[in-house]
Amino acid sequence: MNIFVRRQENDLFKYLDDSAFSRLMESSEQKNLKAGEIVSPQDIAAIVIVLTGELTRYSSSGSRIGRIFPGEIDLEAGLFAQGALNYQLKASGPSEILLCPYAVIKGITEPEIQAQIQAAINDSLCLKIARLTHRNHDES
Amino acid sequence: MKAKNNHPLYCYLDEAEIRIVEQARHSQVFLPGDTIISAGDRKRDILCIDEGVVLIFIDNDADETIEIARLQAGSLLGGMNFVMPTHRTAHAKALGEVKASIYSYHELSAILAQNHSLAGKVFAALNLQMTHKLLDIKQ
Repeated sequence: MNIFVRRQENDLFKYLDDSAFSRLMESSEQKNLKAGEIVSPQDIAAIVIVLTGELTRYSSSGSRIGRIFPGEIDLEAGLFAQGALNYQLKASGPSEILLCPYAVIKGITEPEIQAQIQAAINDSLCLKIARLTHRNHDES
Repeated sequence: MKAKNNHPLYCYLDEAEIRIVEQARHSQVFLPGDTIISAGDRKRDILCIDEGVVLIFIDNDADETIEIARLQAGSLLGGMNFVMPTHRTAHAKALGEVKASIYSYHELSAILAQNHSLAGKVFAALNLQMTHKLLDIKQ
């Protein structure tokens, strides 16, 4: 389902025009991570956007369950989950990330921008589920 | 965004907004044993179970049927395909009579493209459903 056209590189802000993009970038916090540094959903109420480097997703049992590359996002499910997500992210090497707080997204009042952000999250969640369900289905 | 009701697609919509989305809704009745979805389908319509129970199953390598889930009234099928064209990974069959609402991909897309306020709320409802699904998948 796509009623918007991609205009930006990163997967959260991809449908925004330059003005909305700048505004949300200013509302987000950039953070440098050292190799091995953990980003835990318990501590961060924000969507993570990888700018440089790479993060690895680990399940609560310690299994590696995915990798996040520059431009991709994670912890977007936390915007809708009842409690904290049950996995954590770890920097595979020195990495730069952008944190867009859930509160900023919830506070967007312009309908078009809210729809563009929700559509971008649609795409990201759908891809994450498809990677899990289709891998099992296509390999069976 | 605060939920206004428990409907999987309408949960963030008010009465007036629901009436707009219902322009894309088509009711369908499935008889016991009817196939609702086949694995491999690429249809992009969203289906909401209004009454009855739907069996979700896959065929294993030995062509045996493996039950995955039984979905009750209030469950949504096809949200992912609405977002992104991909093939269905499981079959869905009516257990007993099933009444469903089918939201046409093309009709609903056309409505949402014209009404971004509505689009944001429907997309958020799909995100809520997909979050539940993502967290339910054993990883």
